[in-house]
Parts: sequence; C-alpha cells; structure tokens
Amino acid sequence: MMVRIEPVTRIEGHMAITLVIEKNKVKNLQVNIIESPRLFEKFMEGKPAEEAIRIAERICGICYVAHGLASVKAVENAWDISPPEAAIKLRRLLHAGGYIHSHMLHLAFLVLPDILCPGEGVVGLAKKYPQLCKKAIFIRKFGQEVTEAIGGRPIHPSSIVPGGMAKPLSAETRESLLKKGKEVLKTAIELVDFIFDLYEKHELLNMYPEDPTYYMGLVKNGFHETYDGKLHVMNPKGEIVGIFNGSRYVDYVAEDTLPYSFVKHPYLRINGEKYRVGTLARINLAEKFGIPITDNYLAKLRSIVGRPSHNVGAYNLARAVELIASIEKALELLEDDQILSSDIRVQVKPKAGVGVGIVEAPRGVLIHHYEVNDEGIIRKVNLIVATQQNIPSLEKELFQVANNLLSKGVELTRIEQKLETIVRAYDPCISCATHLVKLKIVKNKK
Amino acid sequence: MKKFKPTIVAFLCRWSAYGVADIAGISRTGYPSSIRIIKVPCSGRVSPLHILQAFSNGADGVLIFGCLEGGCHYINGNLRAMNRVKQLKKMLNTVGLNSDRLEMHLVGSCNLNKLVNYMKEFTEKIRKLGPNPLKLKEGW
Amino acid sequence: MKKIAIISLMSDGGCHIAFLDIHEELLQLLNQVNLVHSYMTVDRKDIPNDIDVALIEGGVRTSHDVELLKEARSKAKVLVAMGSCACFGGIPGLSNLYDLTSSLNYVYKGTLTTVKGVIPHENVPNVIRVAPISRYVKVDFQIPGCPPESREIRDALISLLKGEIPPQPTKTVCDECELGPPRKKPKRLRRIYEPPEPNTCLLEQGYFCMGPATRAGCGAKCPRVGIPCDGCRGPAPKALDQGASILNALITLAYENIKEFSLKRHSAYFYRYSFASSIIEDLIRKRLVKKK
Repeated sequence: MMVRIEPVTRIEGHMAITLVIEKNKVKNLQVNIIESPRLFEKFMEGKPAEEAIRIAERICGICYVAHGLASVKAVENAWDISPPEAAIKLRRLLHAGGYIHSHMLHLAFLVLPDILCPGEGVVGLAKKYPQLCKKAIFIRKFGQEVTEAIGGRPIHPSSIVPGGMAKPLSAETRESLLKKGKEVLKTAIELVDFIFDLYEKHELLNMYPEDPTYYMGLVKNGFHETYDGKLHVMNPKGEIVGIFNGSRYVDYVAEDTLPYSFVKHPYLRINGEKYRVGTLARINLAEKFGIPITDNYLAKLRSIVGRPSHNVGAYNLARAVELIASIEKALELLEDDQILSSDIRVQVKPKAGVGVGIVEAPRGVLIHHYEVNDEGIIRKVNLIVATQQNIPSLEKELFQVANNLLSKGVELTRIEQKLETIVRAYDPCISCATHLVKLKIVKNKK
Repeated sequence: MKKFKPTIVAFLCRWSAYGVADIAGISRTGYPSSIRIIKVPCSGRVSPLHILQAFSNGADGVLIFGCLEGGCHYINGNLRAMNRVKQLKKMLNTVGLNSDRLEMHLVGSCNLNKLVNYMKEFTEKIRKLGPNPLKLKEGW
Repeated sequence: MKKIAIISLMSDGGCHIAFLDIHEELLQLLNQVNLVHSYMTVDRKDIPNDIDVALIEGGVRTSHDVELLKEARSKAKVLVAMGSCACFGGIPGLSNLYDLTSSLNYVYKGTLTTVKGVIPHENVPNVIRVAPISRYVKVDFQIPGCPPESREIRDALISLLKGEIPPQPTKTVCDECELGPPRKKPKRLRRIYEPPEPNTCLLEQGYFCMGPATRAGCGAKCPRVGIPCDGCRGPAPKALDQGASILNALITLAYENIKEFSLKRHSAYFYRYSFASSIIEDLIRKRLVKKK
C-alpha cells in the first residue's frame, strides 16, 4: 500500500512524504517537495545585478536576510568590490537579527509543541504555556527590530547595496537596541536552559535517528562563522577532507534532479556522498564561537552529544546554542563604536564577470552564483540553497525510521507524527529549497 | 473568402482633428468606415494603457491625431503623446504585434484632405498587414 | 468563535511571518478566534468547512494551487488575497516573460551544478503560468504588499470578522515620502549602486522610483533609507496597471532621457510585483491561446 503525508505541517513550505508499504516493510519512500517552483534561476536573467538583491530576498519569507547577503556578496565578487569594514559589521548585525527571529520561530513554534502539546500546534502551546510563548515572542521581536533598524524593514530589507549599506545606524537606535538586547539575552538563557532540561528529562535524543554523514559549513580560523570564511567539509569520522572558497564550490557540489520532487538533491562530487548542513553541521565543524556565554553552552552540548554528533535531534539543541550566539554576537556588535560609522559605502563600477556569494543561512550553506555582462546585467544564475542539501539525508532517515516503527507494529498515525517530528528537526525552508510531507495512504490490493 | 475589414481605433483631439473629422462627415468627403473615433480633450490624454487595451480588445490598428507642433491647447500634450507612441512602438514587437499597427500624426484644424488621406493610407496598410494576431474573435 | 484560516499557495511564507509579526497580540488573537488551518503553525492538514475569513497567501503556479484555491473559496464566507503574490502574482510573475518549458529545462537540467537532468513529473502537480488568485476565483478583499504591514493584516482581519469592509489607503507612496515631490526632470537614469544626494526626491535624481505608482500604507520605508521604492504594494487603488502608470509618468517627465525601453530588463523596475496581472501578460496569454 502507498501512504502519503500531505502536507507536512509546522515547517516552512509545502512537502509531502509518500511511502510504498508492502508486506509490512517500507519498500520505497519519497520526500515530494510539491512547493510551486517559481524558477528564480531563470527569471533573474536580464535583470540589473544590483536589483537581484531585493528580488532574491523573496526566495524566502524567513531567511531573506541570508539571501540578500549572499546576493550582494555575489555581485561584489563579480565587480571586485570590497565594502568598508563598518558596512560588514552592519551586515553581520543584520544577519544576527535574522538568526534570532528564525531560530526562535523554529524552536518555539515548530518544535516545542511536539514536546509539550503534541498534535495541538501553536494554538495549543499558546493556551497551555502562555508565559513561555510571551518569552519566545519577546526574543523574536528583538530579532525583527534589529533587522528593521539596519535593513529599513523587518521583512525583506532594502538597505543592502553593492558597495556597502545604504543607511548608517543612529546612536539613538543603537542605545535602545542595546538596552533591550541585554534583557533579551537573559530571557533567551532561561528558555534555552528550559529546552536543554526538556531534552534531558524526556530523553528526547533517543527518539531521533543517528545518521553518520558528511557535513559542510563556513568556518573562519576555527571559529563558528555565518558571513565570511571558507567552506569546510567534514567526514563522518570528524576529519576535515576539504576546504574551499568562492567559485571552487562547483568542484565539490553537484545536484541530481528527481522525477518526484521539485527540489534537486545535492551531493559531494568528490565521492558521490550526501552531506548535511545547518546548525548541527556548523557546531560539528567549528572549534568554538569565541563568545563566553555561547561557548559554555557549546561545551554543554558537546558533553551530551559528542563531536561530531550525528543525531538528528541534536539539530534542535545546536539551534538553541546558535540562538544564544546570535544575541550575544548582536550585543557585541552593538557595543562596538564602529557600528555608528557613516563610512559604509564605496564607489561601484559594474563590469563583466562571474561572482559567487556564500553565507550560512540559519538552515545551512547558501550559495548565489551570478554571471554578469559588461553593463552589469545578469546573464546566468545558479543557486544552491540550504535546505535542499539536507533532503537526501532526510529521505534516508525517514525510510529507516518508518521501517523500524512498522516492524515494531506501531500504527500509521503515530508513524506519521514521528516522521513529521524528524522533518521538523531540520527546520526545512521549502520555499528556498524549490527556487519543495503529505503522507498519502494508498492501499494496494494485496 | 470575405475581404478583411479592419477595425481601427482612432483617438482624435477635440481642438483640431475631431472638428476636421466632423467636417469630413458633413461635407460628404467621408473617411474610411474602419475608423472608430474616440474624442479626447488632448492627444496627450492617451496613455500607453489605452493603446495596449485597444489591441488587447482586438483592434487591428491604433491611430492618434494631435495638434500641430506649437499649436497644442495645453502647450505640449501633443509632444508628450508623440514620445509615448515612439516608446510604445518599440515594445509592441515584444508582445507579437507589428509596430506599424500604431501611428500618430499632427494635423492642423483646417487640413481636411491631410486627415482623410492619413486615415485612408493607414486603413490600407492595416488591411495588408491582416487582422490583429491577438484577436480572439472576429468582428467587434 | 469565528473561524479563520491561512491557506498558502505559491509563496515564500513571508506573509505568514508578517501575520506572526503582530507579536504579543497573536496570543490575544488566538483567544478570540479559532485558527483552523495554517500549515506553518497548526497541525490540521485538510481545509475545514464553514470558514468565516480565509486569508490566501501566495499566487497560483501549479494545478495543485488551483485545486486548493477553489476548495478554499467553496469553504469560506470571505476570501482575502493576502500579499502581492495573491493580489497580482508577485515577483514570481516575472517568470511569465520567459517560455515555461525552456525555464523548466534550464532550472532542472541546465544549471552549472545539475548533473542528471529530468523535469519532475511523478507525484508532483503540473506547473502553469503564474497568476493572481483573482484569475481563478472571486476575491472579496485584497491586502497587498510584499509583505503587507502586520498591522494591516490584523486590522483587516478584525474588520472582516465584524462584517465590515476595512478602510483602504487612497494615496500613493509618493504622498508618504518626505523626499518628494520631484521638482525637476531627471537628467539621466541612475541605478541604485550609485549613492543618492540626501534630502532630494529619488525620482528627480533619476532613479526608477515606483513611489508615484504604488499604493500607500508603508510609510515609504525604502526611500527613508535612500533606496527607491520598488512597488511592492502594487498599483494605487484606482490604477489598472502599475507598470503602464509609471511608464506613462516617466515618458512624460523625462522623454529625452529614456532612449531605450526593454521589457526584459525594465520589467524588474516597472512590473516587479504586478507582471502577472498586467496588460502585457494579457497580450501574451492571448498570443499563446491563438497558437493552440
């Protein structure tokens, strides 16, 4: 019989999962990304490269900051521009704001309901744990306020330009963000402690599969990095097997297209293996963060899951650590006086070229690759987006888990819920993944 | 085979061309029956949207008549219209329409023959070009 | 309690996030209404009956979107197009300038890193031209924006639940902007990688600012940071075609300076959010119908 979970809820985007079950074994499992493919890689052709930034942000309604930054880096790479240091700090602050909103949204609204009020979603959480919700909203709101202050708008910022940033930060806004940020950090620490305790109390890590995969992510001099640095590839044993930058990504990453999904499946060209990205990958790859409160949490996490950790559930704990990191980092940047500088933009002259911009979106490695002509108009676009890189592993893990539970006689509704919980740990962003879990039960006649 | 009778939308400015067309009617000089006249206060009132809508609704050709240079009642409405037409003609090819289907002329308020000749020539040109390729049904 | 649903079609999820950006008010709202469907926050998979207000996020891009949309229309008393994708087709509408088959071929077979190429066709819906939802169903109310302001979504919901029509802005972004209005003709066209003069209208300086042709309500946030408006809130309330409106204005203001107009390039300015509901889209679809 065929089973289809559609749509997988409490994720961003439209996904279905189709299982073919024969003789109580999962014969086949497909992750069908049914999200409507908008084909950004095609329609961005012919457009002025500097306008690509605001257009590319609309690839995703959650990680728009990451897309904006990857896009501007690609344009600056093509036109040989180095923005001023103060502009980069503003971009890092903007990036932190994006992480705060995205990670908090995910942990509070997409993960916690599964633990605290299964089946009831955010509505249940709001009814049963209103104080918890208030704290999460308070933290998330700060992230949006940072984005609005630097980017001009809380969703789809407009101030990112090739050459730097369009508007400096005022001393007034900086003061008010600093003041609020300190309260936010305290609240976040309470919340993250709560999440770690929950994991321990319910032994949640045991409920997630282990999947020894390769990992890829940005690292800079051993430190956890989301804006700059070089891409590192780690094998399942924890050894670094590749370090590269910019357009060399083409030597490392290839994509398979599948007949049953609008999302392409990337894999490592060097050995054909799949790899994972995102919070757990970054935590595995980095030695440390270099900020005290976060590094404490990192040590705590590693004492629980080890390094490298292959446990899918560890993605959520890694996300919690990164939430603290984003707030701590934002405060550090706000305290730096250079953040008020008005030297935030250099002169720009378009030229023909190829540019690659790589950042870490909250969900993983994001690559924008543009070819532009001498007028600065885009000729060709290639995008590798975070979530698609995790889909191959997800498919394999869901297959294993479904089989496991079936053989134990667990009933289908519970299997459905279980599979969805695993999907959620990856915090997939399907809008990005398609530039696409509906468990449909199709009963074959036996 | 029925001979193709074009449908042409003509925007005529009330200060010059419209009056002339009136006279053409009264004096029995006549003008081609393909021409469907829309009176406008100034040729500058005609926007790109009006022109595109005319084609979208099945017009085979669009003509605009304005006052002579220096003679526009609103000073430069006619010149603005000329530029709109110039820009729009470039764009018509992109949507599959021959740019010759759009034309604009400046006429004085006394020149009956000139107006009627422009209309006759344009109608013949459109007849040769054939019906609007985007027209979904015959007749209007 | 009245029932509301948020149903997502072809969208990036940004309007959902704009809704959640009412922050603390969300908790109050969830006590006052029954949120019966919202794929991002509620676990219910099917669309229930007797919905009082359905917010549709996203435009139409696949046959599945059309099915979902029609189902939502049949089950909702009031149907609202939320966001510029639902109202006008949004940025993905730009994809309609290109032939669909060759676009699918490029994305799924032709990019630099794609190895084995096949266009997805198994257990996935058919891809069709991007369209605003009004092409397929009757829409009772529109909340445009990319995304709309959070308070606009909240205010519209509250009004509609009371059975009232929410007030709509009647002006354009130009009216809300402190830099304008333009007092001189632009001397040359400028692109945004050039920094602007402060305290001067961006249109006057030659940037493609969509302010005069865009519905008000955002407080002109983008010009406030020195970036020209890109028209994300769609056309002014009475205007029929956003691109034609601004084109008309620019040709009138600066006709000596616009030497060449290319739909492929300049649609990024004039039709960024509204191409799928434009007169050009209308003409292209007629041509495609005739081809068959």
